[in-house]
Amino acid sequence: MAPVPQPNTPAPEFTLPDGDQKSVKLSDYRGRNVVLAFYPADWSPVCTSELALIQETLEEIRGMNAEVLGISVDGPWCHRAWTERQHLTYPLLSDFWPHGEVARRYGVFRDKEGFSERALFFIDASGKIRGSWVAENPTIAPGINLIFDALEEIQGVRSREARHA
Amino acid sequence: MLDDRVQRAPISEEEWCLGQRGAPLTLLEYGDFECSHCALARPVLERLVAENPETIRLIYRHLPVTTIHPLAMNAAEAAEAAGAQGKFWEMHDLLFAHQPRFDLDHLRRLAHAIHLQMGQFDREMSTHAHVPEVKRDIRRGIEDGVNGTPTLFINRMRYDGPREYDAMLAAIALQTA
Repeated sequence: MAPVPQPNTPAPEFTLPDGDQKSVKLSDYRGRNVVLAFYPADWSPVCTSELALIQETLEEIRGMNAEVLGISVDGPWCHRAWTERQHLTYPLLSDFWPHGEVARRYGVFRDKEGFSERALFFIDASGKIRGSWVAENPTIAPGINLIFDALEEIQGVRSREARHA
Repeated sequence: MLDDRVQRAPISEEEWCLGQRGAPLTLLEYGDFECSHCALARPVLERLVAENPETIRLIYRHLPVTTIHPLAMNAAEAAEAAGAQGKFWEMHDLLFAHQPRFDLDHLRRLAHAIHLQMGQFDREMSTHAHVPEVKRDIRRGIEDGVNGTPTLFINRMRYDGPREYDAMLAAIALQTA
């Protein structure tokens, strides 16, 4: 498995099907920031909570010139059913076959269990990795601030200290 | 450095507080009235305050996750409307006891049960007068790094452990040691 890609290196390219079996290529998002959210499994409670919270704040995330791409090893049909049930409006990508190949390229595949870590990668509009977060414990969802803090840094907006001043 | 463990948005004097405002330990909950995990946590959090009145206070902030809980915003508005009449915690308890029946008819019944002035309640609900307060809490939640409902903080440190009385009391003891 590849190591976790470091900041200021090109984000590993990939093409994966979404829940509508449409091919989604990372480089298609050049010009926009991308939040790549690896998660272990559709339908699991922690992932449900994590992805719902992202959906709840999606308007604000998109307002920072960013798109969210969820990725798990579930198949496209599973993604489709879950997306409908959860009312998600951002794409979920299927890293089903070759199994976990993209997670391996990002250094976040859990060989023993056969699914990915819970992880976030922040990719800027030029396609460079600008930061990442990998859960120490995959049963704990990331704080939603991680996404906003990373995007603010990429966008060069004022710091949170300044916001509270 | 990305960090999601420390609560940041300052707690003001106007926020919903159970227990003594000056208590040295602050439990902060981001809750969703339609969330079953929040309903299960409620008696534990209230017992922590009730049994440690000199030391622990509970602050409640709204985090309605409407994509999975479509009536949670209604319920949060009703709690704020009750709060405007000095009965936030009464409504808070009733909402958790009656979830997820949060259509307007049921909310009116709850409001009636705690003797709210119904004209004011109806007016505020129909004009969504309290949405700004709820949205302000959601923004605070983003700042604070919420990761689901409930999200709990013990003196500004996020607590992801078991939401049982003894476990939480032990975590509080560690924080104050």
